[in-house]
Amino acid sequence: MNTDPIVETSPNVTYGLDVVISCNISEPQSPITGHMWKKGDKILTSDKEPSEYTTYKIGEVNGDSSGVYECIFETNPPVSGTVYVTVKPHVTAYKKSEHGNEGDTGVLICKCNSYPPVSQWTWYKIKSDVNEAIINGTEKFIIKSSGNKAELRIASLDIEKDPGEYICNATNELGTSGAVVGLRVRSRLAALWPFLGIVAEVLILVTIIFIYEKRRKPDEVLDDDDGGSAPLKSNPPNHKDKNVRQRNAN
Amino acid sequence: MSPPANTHLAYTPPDGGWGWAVVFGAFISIGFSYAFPKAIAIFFKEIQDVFGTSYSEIAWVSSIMLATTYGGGPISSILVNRFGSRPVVIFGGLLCGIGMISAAFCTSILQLYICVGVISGFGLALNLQPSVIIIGKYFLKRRPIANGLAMAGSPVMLFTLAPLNQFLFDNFGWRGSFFILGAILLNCCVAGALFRPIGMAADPVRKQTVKQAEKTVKDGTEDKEDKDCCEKFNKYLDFSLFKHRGFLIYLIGNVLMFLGFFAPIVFLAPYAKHLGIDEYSAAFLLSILAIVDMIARPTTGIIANSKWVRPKIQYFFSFSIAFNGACHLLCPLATGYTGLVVYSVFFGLGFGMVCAMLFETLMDLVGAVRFTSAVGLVTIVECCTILLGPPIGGTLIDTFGDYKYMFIKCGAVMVLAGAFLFIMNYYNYRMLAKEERERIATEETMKDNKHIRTETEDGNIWAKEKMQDGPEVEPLTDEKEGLKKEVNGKSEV
Repeated sequence: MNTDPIVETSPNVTYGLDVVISCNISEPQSPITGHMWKKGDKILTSDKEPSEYTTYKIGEVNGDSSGVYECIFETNPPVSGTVYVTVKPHVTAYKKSEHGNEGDTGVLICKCNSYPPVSQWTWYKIKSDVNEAIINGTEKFIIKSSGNKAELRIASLDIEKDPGEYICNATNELGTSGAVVGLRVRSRLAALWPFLGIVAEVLILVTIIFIYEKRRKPDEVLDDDDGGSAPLKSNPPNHKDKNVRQRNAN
Repeated sequence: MSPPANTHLAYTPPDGGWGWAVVFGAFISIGFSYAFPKAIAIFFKEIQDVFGTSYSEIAWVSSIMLATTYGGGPISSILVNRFGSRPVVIFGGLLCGIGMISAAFCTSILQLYICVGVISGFGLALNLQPSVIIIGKYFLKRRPIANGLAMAGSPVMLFTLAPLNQFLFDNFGWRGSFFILGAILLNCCVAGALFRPIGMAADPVRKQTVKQAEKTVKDGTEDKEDKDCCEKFNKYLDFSLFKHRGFLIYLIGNVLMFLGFFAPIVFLAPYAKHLGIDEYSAAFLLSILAIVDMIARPTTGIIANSKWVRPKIQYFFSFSIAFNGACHLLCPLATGYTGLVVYSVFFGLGFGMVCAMLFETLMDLVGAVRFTSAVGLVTIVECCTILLGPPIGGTLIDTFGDYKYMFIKCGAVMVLAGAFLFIMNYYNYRMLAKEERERIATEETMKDNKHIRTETEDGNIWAKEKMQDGPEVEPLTDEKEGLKKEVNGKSEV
């Protein structure tokens, strides 16, 4: 008599443009007060319908919509079923084009948030004839991968050999796909030219200002002689302002 | 024809002419000093990744820089008292440049603290104080306008440096950017070159006469030899200012004010994001603030220079502080983006008003000659509260989980500071008026005795006066009298 309710789900999907997933409950033990659809921890929809049938529209099956969907029948106790929406890895680069300084460490990052999670990451450097696989653990390359994120660190960037395009490939149960990340290496001397330009500008301006001031000086030298007798007259000897009034020394 | 305007400056400031070039130089110098610590925050995220530090460790770079810029005030004052503004600013510019250039080659966060924080920070300190000081030497009647224009450098520079830094970072990385910024900071030397010396320090003839006079004085009065080291030090940094009533009022009021001055700016963008506004609009609020600030500063300068406001400029200053405080108190009422925009506009206005008059009021209270030491002492005391303000605000936010207590605290502190300054300055103005009446009375009696004096004694008296560069007798009353005379419409030039 006490048979467990059976939840039938629509089949797992891997592609489609207008996909609708559904759950069907048979032999519920108690009245159904509502339904809920969850993806991971996030609640997608919920309702208070008593039907034994509930659906959820996913739309296009892609990296964003992939994941583990759970349909929950609000019985006492609640009963749920799971639908898996799986795709090949959907890989994106943090930045399509990364910059690094010559001699510094360059970091290329790829991430993949689709389901099922990535089991393996591989990196390649794109070369004209055949892509060169990058081996982890050398002095030059260090690969750090953790499920949905992979990092390629290139030490002591060489401006001749290192710039170019790199591919990060992610593999899961359904297949492999990747993304392209570009790397540009800035020359050590790149900042030097603007620097020299600005320093030159500063020197020129300072020189002009001082020359301008020296050229005005001859007027003031003459005044100095006049002011030589100033102390006895208690006159403030600021010769630049001819309209300075005499004042008593108190 | 103007009456002897500023007796203790011993010359009439030009109030124009080359003074405007000096204002431009001060604009650049002050702009870099205030805007640079904030503008380099753009590089922090990248440096954080490269050196693997936490955000608070990186934020220390800005704090150390700000602390050194303010803490280096007294040293700056001493150097200006000794050498004049120009050499100090040029040296400061060189220090800034060297600091940033060496920062481009740093390999650890500690080295960054030293290069960017200490060296460049100290260079900026050597830029900030002399720039403000030299305005006081070149301007008297139009000084509030000059101050307002020069202080406008801060928002303009911030507005320019922020996108420039972003551009440099995208194209050259943080090391290249620091390298180029080092060169850009060298422009402070250009600003320094504009600070042509004026007045007492620049005159070779006077130095000669002072030496002659010194000899006669030495022969004459022997109690002058009892000048102990305190008095000699006083010539470089005037500690007797701590007995000056106006200076103390200003100091206490400002220290109080700075507790709530900068925190709202630091937390404006996070508060906006907290209310659900997106990042770009939140950043735009700061731009609105900067633009209003830019316009408010020179405008405040012009208003403060008018004949109705100038004699009572301290009241205007207290009003603007209280206005700022009122803005912060009302901020929690703003719940939407429009409310925040309105708040930003008024905040920018209040902020600009206070900043424009920050140094003008100090000059007004202590006079242009003692200002050199005053500004150094004020900045080192303010240094502590400036650094404490944002962290206290941050703690309030973390404890209560709500931004409004931070705004209320800042608003309350500033309204309190404004009220304090208002009341104390009312008292100060009354005391000054009383002292002025007494001084006129004594002058009358002394004028009768003057006819008796001989010519040689005249020379002694004059020389004595010139040597006393530091402590002076009631400079404030002289200045007030001079100002009142000008203000009463007897002035031209």
